[in-house]
Amino acid sequence: MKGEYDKCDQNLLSRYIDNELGSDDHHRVSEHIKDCPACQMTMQENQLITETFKNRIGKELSGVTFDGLHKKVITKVREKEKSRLSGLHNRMATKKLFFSLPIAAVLILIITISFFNTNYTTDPSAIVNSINTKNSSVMILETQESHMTVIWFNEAS
Amino acid sequence: MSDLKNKELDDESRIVARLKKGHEGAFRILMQQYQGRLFNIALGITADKEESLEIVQEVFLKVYRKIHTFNQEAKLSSWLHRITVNESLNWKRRWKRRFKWYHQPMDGNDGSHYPELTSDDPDPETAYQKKELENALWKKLKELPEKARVVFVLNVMEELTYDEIAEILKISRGTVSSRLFYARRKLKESLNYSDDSQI
Repeated sequence: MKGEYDKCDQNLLSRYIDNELGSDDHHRVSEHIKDCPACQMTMQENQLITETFKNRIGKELSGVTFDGLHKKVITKVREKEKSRLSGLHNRMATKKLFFSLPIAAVLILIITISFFNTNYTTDPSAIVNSINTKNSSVMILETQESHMTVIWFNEAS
Repeated sequence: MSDLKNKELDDESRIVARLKKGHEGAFRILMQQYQGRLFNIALGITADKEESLEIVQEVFLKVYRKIHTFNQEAKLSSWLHRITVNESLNWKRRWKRRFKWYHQPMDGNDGSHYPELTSDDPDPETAYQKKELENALWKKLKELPEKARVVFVLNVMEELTYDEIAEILKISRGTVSSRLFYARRKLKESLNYSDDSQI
């Protein structure tokens, strides 16, 4: 054993136990432990502490059943999901109302305006041309004021 | 080895995706996978079985509520560890619990000072010493500052590396190392209770 590893460094040993040393340091500490009863003792003590602690926790864990916990968690999850969905539904309904009311109002306005603005033409339209065959007849008409062309087709049954 | 790790990450991504969609089945899988491990951590920090169960329950509910914030930069297990540690420490900070913490019997739930001998105990004397050591260690653990205790529990129960512990607790590697060293030194004092029985 040479240099810094001649002395027992407990801090270094702690990192050695946790496998947190670089390969060179790990090797040197490993070599040191072989010839150092004090460090060997420390290693054993640490092992004993770890085992005893794990053993105690393990014993407690073996006496625990998680069924109740599962039920509680899933029940709460479902409750939350339900309230989330109902909240979402309410928000959606409010949103729908929020957007649909103005749309409805605009539609009503348009219909009303167009109703009052419409001039119904009662005069007959002019017949531009008409063709009659054995199986069908076609009539081309033109409306009086707007001058729209209407093609009327009739097929004999 | 890396294939195995990739597969684990792949499985984890899948389960996280399902959790984010609110799948109850994924939530059940998560609980099955982690309930014992999280219970161990909570018990190591609080030393109280019933409270640890409640903590684990709260952790899962928190996961359900916050899963959308989990961005998978860290491992799912690290995220769960962090929530468990925080919940356990919060539990300890509640004043009502604090009273119980300092006044409950140190050697088991029934308060009995006498060790229970099980059939696999080699002989009554050894079993007694073993139990005494366990109680002494448990008592010492409770006396440890919580920062050192948390590091020790994560190191022993989850066998996490210094880097992993540092990431969970948002501390440096060096701090992990020194807290762990301190915890071990303090816990070693408990070995004086039954010196002739060990090693």
